[in-house]
Amino acid sequence: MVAFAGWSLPLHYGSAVEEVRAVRTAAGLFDVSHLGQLTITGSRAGEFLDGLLTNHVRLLPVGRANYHLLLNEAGGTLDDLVLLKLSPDAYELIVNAVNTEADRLRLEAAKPAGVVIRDRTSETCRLALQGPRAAALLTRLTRTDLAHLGQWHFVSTLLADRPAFISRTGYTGEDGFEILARAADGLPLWEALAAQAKPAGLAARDLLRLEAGLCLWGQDLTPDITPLEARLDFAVRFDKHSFIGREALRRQRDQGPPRERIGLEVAEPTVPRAGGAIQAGGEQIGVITSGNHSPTLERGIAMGYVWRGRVGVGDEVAIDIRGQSRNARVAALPFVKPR
Amino acid sequence: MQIPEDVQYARTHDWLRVENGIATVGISDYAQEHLTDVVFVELHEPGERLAAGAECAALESVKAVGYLYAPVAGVLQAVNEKLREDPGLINRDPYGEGWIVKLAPSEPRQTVELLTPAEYREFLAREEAK
Repeated sequence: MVAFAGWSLPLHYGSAVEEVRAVRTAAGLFDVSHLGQLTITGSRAGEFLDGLLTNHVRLLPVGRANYHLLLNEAGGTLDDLVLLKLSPDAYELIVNAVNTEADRLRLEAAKPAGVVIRDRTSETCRLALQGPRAAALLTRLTRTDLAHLGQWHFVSTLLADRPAFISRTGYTGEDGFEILARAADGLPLWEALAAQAKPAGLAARDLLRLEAGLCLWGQDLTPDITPLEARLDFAVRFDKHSFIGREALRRQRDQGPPRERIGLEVAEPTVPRAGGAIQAGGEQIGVITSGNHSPTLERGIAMGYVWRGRVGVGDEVAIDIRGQSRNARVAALPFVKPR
Repeated sequence: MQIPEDVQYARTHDWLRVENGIATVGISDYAQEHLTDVVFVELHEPGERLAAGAECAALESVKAVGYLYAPVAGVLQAVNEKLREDPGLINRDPYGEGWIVKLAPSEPRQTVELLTPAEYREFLAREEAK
């Protein structure tokens, strides 16, 4: 167990590598109850959130989830999050654990009259069941046809006779579901699912999301990095006439972002780490923000930022690993392709 | 937590077993559990002279890099070649098949502070309490 953002969480249940394999071939089960959950309600909630977040809120259909960035005025990323639309007046925001209180304060400071914000993190549990067998396993525990639930859709249903919101979402690049239920139902739900899926911890979670080319806020996304540099353009809706950071991003879009996020695969038997310099043509062009060993590809993989336009997929670069220069190649993201 | 009785321990979580004048060295169960899955091992060349406490192998895991520190000064006699293909041996069998290096201790013997199994167990309890 390790300390993480004020919680005590399992790093692994024996072997992170085996847990990654289980998710890629069968099903893994994660307890992600530590993620912040902010409930926003009120007749002006949709308008409020549209003005704060980068993706569509009012135009999102009920029963759908989508991915957002929360920006500062300079367009830098304060958090990334998933929003679930329960109704035009009710939303759940799932935020990074480390930002739960900061996000709550930001929302409180900006909200109009009538909008209510509650931190419900401790009232609920959240489990993620991820992998090609996730649908088959979950459908045994509910009458809802989860196999046909669309990506990014969610339903309110009974799972093992307990009320839950189940969304077809995840952070692994595999098919999977995230289950939001009452805190008291957490242990029984865990036990029902762990009987058939492999428990997986934080280390496996981080390896899987890196293989899937997904950003981790605090490493690949920070207040100094914009979503355009991070190549998350799909989550930035310029057709919305205002949201915090829109002006700064529009200028950046028009001039071209100064940096871009790239993927790297390491040819040599070593592990790239965050902070390692990326070099091309004898000069430093960027830095690694996330790096690790990919159990699925059996080689080192990394993401980082370089000056835009300096390198393309397939180009060779040098990266610094523990003071030594090692060879790597720019790779397309995701490293592990979704099915 | 495995803390076998037939080895001595260093505060850097390395263990030492001396048989027929040769010291076999590895990392403890506590160390491998905290390091998590070892994916690459960088081994040195036999023949290298090592001071007590010198770094003598790099263990790359999915979490971080750990190092093996020679508990005793001496000459590197052998490295566990099996670790090149199967670095997970260190996690699965840290005191047996997951041994990392063998040293020929120099005379007079120079060591880091070595702990008995009981002392190491106590040391771990204090570490966990921090």
